[in-house]
Amino acid sequence: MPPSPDALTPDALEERIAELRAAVRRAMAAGDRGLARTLRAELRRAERAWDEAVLGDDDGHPDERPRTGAERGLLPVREQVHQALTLLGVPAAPKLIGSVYAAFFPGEIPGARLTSLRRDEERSFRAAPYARPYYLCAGLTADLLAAARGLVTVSTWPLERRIVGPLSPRTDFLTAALRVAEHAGRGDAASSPQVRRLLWRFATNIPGATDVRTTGGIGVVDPAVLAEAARAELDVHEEADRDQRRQAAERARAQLDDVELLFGTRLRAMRTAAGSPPAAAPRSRRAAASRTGTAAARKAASGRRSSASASAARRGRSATKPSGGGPGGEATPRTSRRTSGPVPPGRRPDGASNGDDR
Amino acid sequence: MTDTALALERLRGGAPPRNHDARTIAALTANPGCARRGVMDAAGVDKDAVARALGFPAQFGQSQFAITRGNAFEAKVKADGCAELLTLLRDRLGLTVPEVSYADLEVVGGNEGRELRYTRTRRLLARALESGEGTLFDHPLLRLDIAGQPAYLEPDVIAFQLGGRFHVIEIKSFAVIDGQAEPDQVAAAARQSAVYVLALRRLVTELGAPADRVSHEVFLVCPENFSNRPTASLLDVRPQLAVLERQLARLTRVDRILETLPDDLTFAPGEALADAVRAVEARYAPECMSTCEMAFFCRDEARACGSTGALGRSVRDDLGGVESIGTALALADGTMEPTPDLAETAAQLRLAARLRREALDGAA
Repeated sequence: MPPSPDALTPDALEERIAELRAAVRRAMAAGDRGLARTLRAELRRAERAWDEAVLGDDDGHPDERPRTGAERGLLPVREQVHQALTLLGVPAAPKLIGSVYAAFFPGEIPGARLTSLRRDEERSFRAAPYARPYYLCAGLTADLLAAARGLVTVSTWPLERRIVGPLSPRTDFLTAALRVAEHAGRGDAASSPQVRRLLWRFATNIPGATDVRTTGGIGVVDPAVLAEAARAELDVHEEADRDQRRQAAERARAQLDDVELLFGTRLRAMRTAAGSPPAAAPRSRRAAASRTGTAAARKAASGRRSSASASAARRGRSATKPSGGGPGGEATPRTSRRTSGPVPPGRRPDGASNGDDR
Repeated sequence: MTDTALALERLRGGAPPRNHDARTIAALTANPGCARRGVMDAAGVDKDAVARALGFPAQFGQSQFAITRGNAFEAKVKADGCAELLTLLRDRLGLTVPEVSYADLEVVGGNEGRELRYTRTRRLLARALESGEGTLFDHPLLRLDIAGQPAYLEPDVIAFQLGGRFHVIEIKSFAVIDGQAEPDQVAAAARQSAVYVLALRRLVTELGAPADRVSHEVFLVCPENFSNRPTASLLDVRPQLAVLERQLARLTRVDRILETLPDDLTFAPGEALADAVRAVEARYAPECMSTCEMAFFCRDEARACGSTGALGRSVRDDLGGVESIGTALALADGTMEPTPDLAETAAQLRLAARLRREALDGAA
């Protein structure tokens, strides 16, 4: 029995490591896997002893320690996102959601999972509508009622809150600042570095929130001061924003079906370049015209297949007729030489999620 | 659709067109006489792919790391409803607090079609001009006629503010250290921004407003010192604008070049690609190396036929009328009798040859 590796000097340990490596190789060459395994365990022990002898054992072995549940969080990603969004209370970009979660909840949201989240949710909703208590869905742009780029919302929120008008990015930013500040102001949450960083990120971009005289130093944010500054600017924009959102929400309720209300409409430009115009376009436009407004279309929306065509019909209506009223009323693009205007797609242009593909 | 557009579509061989950007237009003005580049750019041919298919892959190009860094910085500046950008604009340009309206023009209803985006940009800007609505326009799509063909351009952001003027905002990821940035980088940014300003001015004029509602001062946003924090400065692009306007007016019109080309010419990949590319005349100069993907192919061609252009623009200008190096040498050593219009050049070449001979003899 060789002496315990812990007692050896680094030189002796290195020798021992080399010996063990050779022994492992010999055992493998001889086909004796059992012996090789024992020797490898010995080798690992010797290597660890070398680490401790040379580097000191105070730094631990961060790479070897298995990541615990507490670090990653035990909840599914959509639950985590839901928690962060509920705290923020406004449509938010994945990055903000991630930093809010990291600041106020145990663990963090793996970033890569966020990118596909909305599409997964849409697919799930199309397959079995309202099967889940809530869906993570899109914000709707106020003018075209399409999905706003890079924002996540919760389906149970009032529609007004999910609409994104021209002023909404700012009001949402300020509201988020307010909510975060209020949350940080409770208890001693503000002392964690992640919370402080989050508060600072909001405060630097809100006038009056980083006044050194009131906060007591650079880089220090008093949640109460931040909240007050955010509310002061919010007062300037809130009313106009609320009107725009309300009008858009009314239009959305009148024009969109269930899926579109959650995940937005889509326009598709018809390309007539060089070749003949796509044959499908006139047909689907006729189909849209014949179905538009009929009660049958609304009823048919329950089936999966017909839901797609009914949404195409309604999409056709909202696309060919400029979404009347509202500040974005004239926003639907006009027919131009190469684009003969947005047409209702028979199928979704990206083919990513049409309910019948999976 | 016009005949020219059809012809360009055919040249592209069915591939989707590549967006012209301010970088390529700034480069285009550097060599306005090159028909090959003019035609390929107008048709939106993927020159990089063509060069690779011909066996002359371009060695340059923006580093992937630089692109990633640029995108990350831009995303940071624009995060949370352009929060950092608004702070900068309020600080430096005196943007008032109520002006925070933000319009995203990168996607229209889930659609990224260029015509659609252009139409929408146009409409929103028209409304802004009329009623003063709207402050920030993110990734608008502008159009500029290059050699008779429309090219689409995407500035990072346009800000519209009190006083009723548009400002082009350019977000660049090179650092401004202690108030100083690298002059080359700033010059390139100014050239690019001038293209945006010009395109925006054309649009504003089309919409019936005076061109000076677009400011000639560009708001350049860069990281400050060694941090990731943005800082901004105003950049006057009037000189670049003047150069650009002059060069664009001089550009050979593409339809005139197309008339001289065979009807069945196409740059689709295949056996005949090299011949097709050679069918369009190029004007190679060593400067092309830093701006054009086709440069290696053109250099090879220019060297093979002994073109004087391969020696540099000044040499070609000095040898006005003498196309190839062989002719120049023959004129210099007297083995070729010059035509009357080349007599003066020939005399100078002979003088130069005699001086060189004497200098070499003296050295030996």
